Amino acid sequence: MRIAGTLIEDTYAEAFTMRAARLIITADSERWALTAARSMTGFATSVIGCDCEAGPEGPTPPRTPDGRPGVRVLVFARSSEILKEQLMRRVGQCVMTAATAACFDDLPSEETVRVGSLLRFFGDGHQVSKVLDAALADPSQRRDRRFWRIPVMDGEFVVEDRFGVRKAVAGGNFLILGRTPEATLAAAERAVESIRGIPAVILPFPGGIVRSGSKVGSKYRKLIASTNTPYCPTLRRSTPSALPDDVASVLEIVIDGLSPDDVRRAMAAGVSAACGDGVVSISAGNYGGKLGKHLIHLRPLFRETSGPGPSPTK
Amino acid sequence: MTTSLRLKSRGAAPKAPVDASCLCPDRLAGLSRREVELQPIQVGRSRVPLGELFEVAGDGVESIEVDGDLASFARVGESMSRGSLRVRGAVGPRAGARMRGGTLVVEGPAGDYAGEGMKGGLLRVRGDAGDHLAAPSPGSARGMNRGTILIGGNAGRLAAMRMRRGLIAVAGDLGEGAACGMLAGTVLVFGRAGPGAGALLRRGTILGLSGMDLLPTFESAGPFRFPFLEIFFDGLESIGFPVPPRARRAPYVRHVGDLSGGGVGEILVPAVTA
Repeated sequence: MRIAGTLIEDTYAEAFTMRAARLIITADSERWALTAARSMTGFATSVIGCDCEAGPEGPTPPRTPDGRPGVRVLVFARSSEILKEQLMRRVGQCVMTAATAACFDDLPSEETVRVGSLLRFFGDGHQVSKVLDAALADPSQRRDRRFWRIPVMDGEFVVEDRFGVRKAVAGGNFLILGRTPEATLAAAERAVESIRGIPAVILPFPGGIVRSGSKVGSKYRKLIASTNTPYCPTLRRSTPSALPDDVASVLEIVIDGLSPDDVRRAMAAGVSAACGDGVVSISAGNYGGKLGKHLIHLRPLFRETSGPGPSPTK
Repeated sequence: MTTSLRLKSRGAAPKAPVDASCLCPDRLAGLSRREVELQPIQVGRSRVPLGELFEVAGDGVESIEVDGDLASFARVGESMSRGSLRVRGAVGPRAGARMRGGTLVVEGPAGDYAGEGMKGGLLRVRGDAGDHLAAPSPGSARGMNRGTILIGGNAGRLAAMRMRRGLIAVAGDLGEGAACGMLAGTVLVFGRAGPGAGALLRRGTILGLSGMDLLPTFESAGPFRFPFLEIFFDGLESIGFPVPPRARRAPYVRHVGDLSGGGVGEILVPAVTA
């Protein structure tokens, strides 16, 4: 299968089940909401070294709980316990500290973790709880919602007591194999641009792009992951390579989403946008199907979804 | 499906006070129409079957609609925990007393002690409410403890006395002594609150959109914007309770008190009228 002259390899991405939370960060201006969101999602590229993966979610929410400009953020972690810890630290250190910001849950779920109920102690006894009865709460939430008003130096920091947690999918990916580093980066940027507007997914890596894709394990026993040697062009001839001779650079797009369908939709859009001049082929990172529960095959994406971009040809 | 009860005629409304606590989804759900008609209702000192006062249509389900002027009917919806009860007309005292859940809507006015000892659910009165709205149950140290009360008109004296949790929103004015001894919770008054509001306030929030005569035992902490108010305003509007536009995104002066009792509650008054 080819799209715009680029080969779509007959392979699959291997994605994992994780726990996710979705937040809305609001502030007096979108600029400050975004500042808080970017700060909160810093150093959250991979659970390998950061304990969570996080990023601002594409479209801005049409409505926010306090009616101010807001930004959605998705956070993924291996377990609800780790997610709680990360949310507590990141909301506490990066949102509470951001001028005029407030933080709300945006993922209705049976399972919830404590966030505001832990951060409230910063109020040193002056924190105030406000409960919005289920009858008045957003119909999607269907529960009483408790908010904490924590006095801070510019007024009050409002944070929701508990945040919903759901099973989600992390590690959706595809690899862009390009003829030159410039062409590869340009293709990756096109892919990122097309995915940014898709709801319920994030691209946790810097600029949405990974240059240091990893394989499982290492020759060093203490490392659980190491550089993806088959896709490193400089290692061609010295290690088994997965790269054709005309490939000089590889970049990876990693996608986390609230559901497998969200990830598929984003992969389809990204692959379509990446294909074109200077891109030899699109591949995907997998571990032989042994590690991840979700196997997302590349070629069927273009039969199942009607993503943007040129139509595939056989 | 809805169970409908229609007061038979104007003349059928008893002159003696009626204990209408049987008008409650918890009591009527699961009963056949005949069983609903046979439910006893206390009229003065005698008990009569419900069918003697009301025309009943439909089997007993959790959604009940009652037509008629029930101004002499006390305890409508008492202790209800689920379902919905809508009264197209007035209700007497203690409507929704000790409610724990469900929705009670009164299309007309409600008598005194509406929502007495309320512990959950939604009580909505489209007309005025009498005195002692959301009062403590007799012998109880605490008043309303969870739930929501919405009053479309005015409410009388001593509303929200010793309130512990929950939300009361009043579109009109509140009588004197509102939220006396309030322990926590939220009272939003879009009209004017009468004198003595917040006396002996411990914690909790009272918002007086049209201002109020503040007790001297409250001190101003200055004007601020409170994002949490927008959450409540949105919630109110989501179920059709109108919020005056001037309430939105307005700065409010926060008055802290009641300092006479060491309270740390707050009365919020728009900065422009403060």
